[in-house]
Amino acid sequence: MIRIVTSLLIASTLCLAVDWDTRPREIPDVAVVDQDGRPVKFYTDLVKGRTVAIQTIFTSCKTICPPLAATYHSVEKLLGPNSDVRLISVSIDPETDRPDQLKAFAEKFGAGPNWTLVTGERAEIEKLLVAFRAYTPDRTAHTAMVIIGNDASGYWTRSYGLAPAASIAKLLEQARSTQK
Amino acid sequence: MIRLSIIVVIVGIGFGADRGRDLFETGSTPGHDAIAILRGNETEVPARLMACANCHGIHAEGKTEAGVTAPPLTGDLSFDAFERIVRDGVGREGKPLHPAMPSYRFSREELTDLWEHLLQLNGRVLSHGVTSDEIRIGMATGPNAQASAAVQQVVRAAFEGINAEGGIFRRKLVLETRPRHAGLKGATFAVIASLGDDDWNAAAQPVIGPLSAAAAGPNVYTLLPSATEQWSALCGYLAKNTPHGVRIVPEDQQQFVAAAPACRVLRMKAGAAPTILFAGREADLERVILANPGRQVATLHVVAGRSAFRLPEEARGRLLIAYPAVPADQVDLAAVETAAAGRPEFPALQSMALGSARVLIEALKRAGRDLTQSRLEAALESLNGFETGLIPPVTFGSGKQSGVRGAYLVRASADRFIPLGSWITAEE
Repeated sequence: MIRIVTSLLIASTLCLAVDWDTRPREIPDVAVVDQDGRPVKFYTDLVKGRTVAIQTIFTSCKTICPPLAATYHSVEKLLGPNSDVRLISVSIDPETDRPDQLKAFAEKFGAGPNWTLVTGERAEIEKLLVAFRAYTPDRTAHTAMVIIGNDASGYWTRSYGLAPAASIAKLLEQARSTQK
Repeated sequence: MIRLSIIVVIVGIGFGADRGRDLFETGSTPGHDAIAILRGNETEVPARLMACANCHGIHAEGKTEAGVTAPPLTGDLSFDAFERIVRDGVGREGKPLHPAMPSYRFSREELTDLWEHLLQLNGRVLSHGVTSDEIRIGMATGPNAQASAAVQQVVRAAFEGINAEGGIFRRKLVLETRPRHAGLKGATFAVIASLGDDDWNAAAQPVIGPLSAAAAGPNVYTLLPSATEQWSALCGYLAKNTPHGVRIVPEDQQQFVAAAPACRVLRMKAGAAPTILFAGREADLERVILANPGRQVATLHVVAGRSAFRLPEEARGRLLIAYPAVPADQVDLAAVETAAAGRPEFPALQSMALGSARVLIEALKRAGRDLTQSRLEAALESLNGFETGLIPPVTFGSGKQSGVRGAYLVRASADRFIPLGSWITAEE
């Protein structure tokens, strides 16, 4: 309870949209590939037992994605190289965004070792989006939210993806400190 | 309130005529990359990833993505407001912009280039009547078609002259006419040499050198002296050049004349005063002057009107008139003839109109390329003794929107006004 009150306090201070009912449905362990072309099991390899941030992007998006990616880069820097928090970007244009495109996008925005970008078969990606309540039929209407959670403790929240990086980093640290 | 913005710093300086377009479309210029910094997280990002056109569209038409709308870049905007938006991320009402909008820290020169490119996009209007390539100037024409045509002719000639030189900051001057001032609202940037109705405020823009009646208003920059200023010039002359002692006729007009400081100090002398200041109706002028043989009668041109020409020669010799514009004899006919493409039909009026056009052109040059109506007004108010060669030296100032304060003194012959000397500036 104290944890919830504290979180609400932080959320209200930062005017961030926090929805305690948006905890993802069971995260599907779909097969995806990362920016280096490596096959990855989404839940097992990226989320299981970790604190994560998950955003949706596509590399040809020029409007909202660049600042979303730039914010991620800043969050990664703030968390530091030794952080075990993982930042995940899921492409919502998987036909276009092959690993090479994701790699180039990652390099443009200075992605470090704790930032993973994934693509895959559309049907698999859509399963993920539905689980995270982030599915939209039109990709240009995709959400600018970032989903923040600690799989180990079962604590999940959301933030506006263009919130100050320091705020997002703080929410991640807070999620990381939660216990089951 | 989420406050987040991206600060972009251009490294190095680009060059070339298309630099504004490069900045808008790519966020950088050839050979010079740019950096963006997200406020609140101090991280540098290449500005080419955040180019204006990415969100606002290549034609600045605006677009929406992920629930975020980048608005079309249109509307009445000053350069200062534009600078606050681009560099500080602060909107027109002082509110922070959406966090997706970067704050670009371009140099002044780069901002100017970007501004120029925006002006060129779609001939976008940033201030009423101003686009990237033209400035629309209005004129209310009034009921006298002949006089109006003559005035339009010389103003158009002045505009064509400056346009032939490339315009003002590459913008051509275009004259647009309407019968009344209200018709110019929203259509033109400023009004010049109007002969139309006296509802100056209806135009809702700076009005320069109106030609009809006595004009006044917060937006009116007149080049004709007010009645008070003409009385002041007249009384100043009388104090120095004629036997002392004046009488105001009719007596109930004392206050009207005494509004002029120079008249207040004249010694009032009932009955035997050698000079009569006539402030009555034109119809009474002849009676008053004939009823006071041997006395000088001083008045304003607006009072005497054309009846002065009909007086007996002896009476005309005793009549001294304050004339608010350059008398026909002193008009720079050569300049007006050139503009009118021949002998001017209304030399005094056309001289005034051409003088007004020169004042406007000078003020537009001083206002700079980032043209707004407030900048034009500031430029007008910076004119100090500006010589048009056509009308008396023009001086405006803060709160002084009467640019020509004083009068010529003239006597009437049978058919024209003959100046007694040069322009007399009204005493403050």
